[in-house]
Amino acid sequence: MTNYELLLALGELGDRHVEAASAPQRRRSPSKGLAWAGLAAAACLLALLWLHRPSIPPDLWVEAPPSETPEGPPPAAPDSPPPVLPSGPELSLSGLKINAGTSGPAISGAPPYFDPALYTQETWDDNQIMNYLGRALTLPWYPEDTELRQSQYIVRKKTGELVRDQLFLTCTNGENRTVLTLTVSRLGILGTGCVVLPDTAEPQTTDICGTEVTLSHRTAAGQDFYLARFALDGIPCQLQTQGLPLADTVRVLAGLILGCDSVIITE
Amino acid sequence: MEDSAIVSLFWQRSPEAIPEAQRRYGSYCAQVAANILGSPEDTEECVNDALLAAWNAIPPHRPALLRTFLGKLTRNLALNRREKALAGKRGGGQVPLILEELREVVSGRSSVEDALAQKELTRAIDSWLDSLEERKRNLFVRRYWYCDSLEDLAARTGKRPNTIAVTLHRLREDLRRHLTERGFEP
Repeated sequence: MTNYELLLALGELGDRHVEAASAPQRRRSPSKGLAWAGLAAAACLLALLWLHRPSIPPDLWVEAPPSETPEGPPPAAPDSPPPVLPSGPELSLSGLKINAGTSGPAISGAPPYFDPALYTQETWDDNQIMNYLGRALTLPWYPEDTELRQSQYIVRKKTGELVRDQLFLTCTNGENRTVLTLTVSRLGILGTGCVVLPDTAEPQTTDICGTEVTLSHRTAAGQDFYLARFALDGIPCQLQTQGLPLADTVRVLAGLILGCDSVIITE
Repeated sequence: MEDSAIVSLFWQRSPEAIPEAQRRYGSYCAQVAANILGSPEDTEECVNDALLAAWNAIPPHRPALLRTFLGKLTRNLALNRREKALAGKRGGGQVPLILEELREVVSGRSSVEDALAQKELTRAIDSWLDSLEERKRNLFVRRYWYCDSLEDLAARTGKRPNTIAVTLHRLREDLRRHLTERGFEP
């Protein structure tokens, strides 16, 4: 064959490959990546200190006064081995309270219509999102072999009032199937979600890394659907996962809450 | 507006279909065309041609992914336009370099005479891509489908252009082996 024939054949590649390659690259530029790595490491360290706070002697939390070098031989090393720190904060699945839900009634996924004469749709860049949320919109940990994408639905009345402020992060796998969606909205417009709880039951909440989370679950077509509702710094958030195991769902959640990608999930 | 709504506009023969498609995917198509053609004027004309081609193709087509559908139309039209432009000695973008690279994979003798054979070839390349790790797969598609320059790929991946060139060279060798094993005479 000729190189031109090959170039034409390449043009008909499967949509999944073309679509996957169009997504923004996961790797960030070196300087930005280093900055994020530094932030994540600092957040992990803080989380570790917080999780291990009962075992740290109180005098380590305050600045020790400068001491003079004692005279005589140096003190003997303690008998006990040095403590081995885990490589990340640990979280057990055993204490989770998971509410059983259903798919609920079929609801149209179409967004409401906003008359362009009265409303304008905006597109915010990363800085605007950071200013609005007080933090970057990102997931410190998400499943391997998925692509993370950001989208938004921001609508403002021409009089200035914000009426939609939905910010989304989605992860899609190689088959272009969405495996998780994070929705963040200061206005609390999170949508119905993939799991609906019965009106009669009071949903139970779980404290995950200091944040109250309402976690719900249902199965359909052999797949697990999880829905987590919580607030970060007072901002309502919703995480939905489809076909992800509970451990991965909780790892995404805990990573987001702690700002850390190395949370260890145990049974 | 969502893809399905835009496709519905095409099916309804609504005059809003093309402007909506252009609003949503115009810049994406322009990027595909610009990498192949190089010239802004040709790029703009090519994107307009692609949207017109979409108007003629939908219906009967109902693409599930409108973006890649428009991207493929744009890519094919851009390559056609480039062939014509070569007669007038203008344009070219990344294609001359890419064709030179692809020469390593092929024999140079024409063998893909019909559409069926080309489909088989595409399927073989698809299956080879499936066997690659995600990072390499995306790199190959960005270079040979989107026709990104080595510099763009370097900026995208955070690697040096030389490193990208070496990785692509290995991928081409691997593709050649894969195609030979499956009976394609490269």
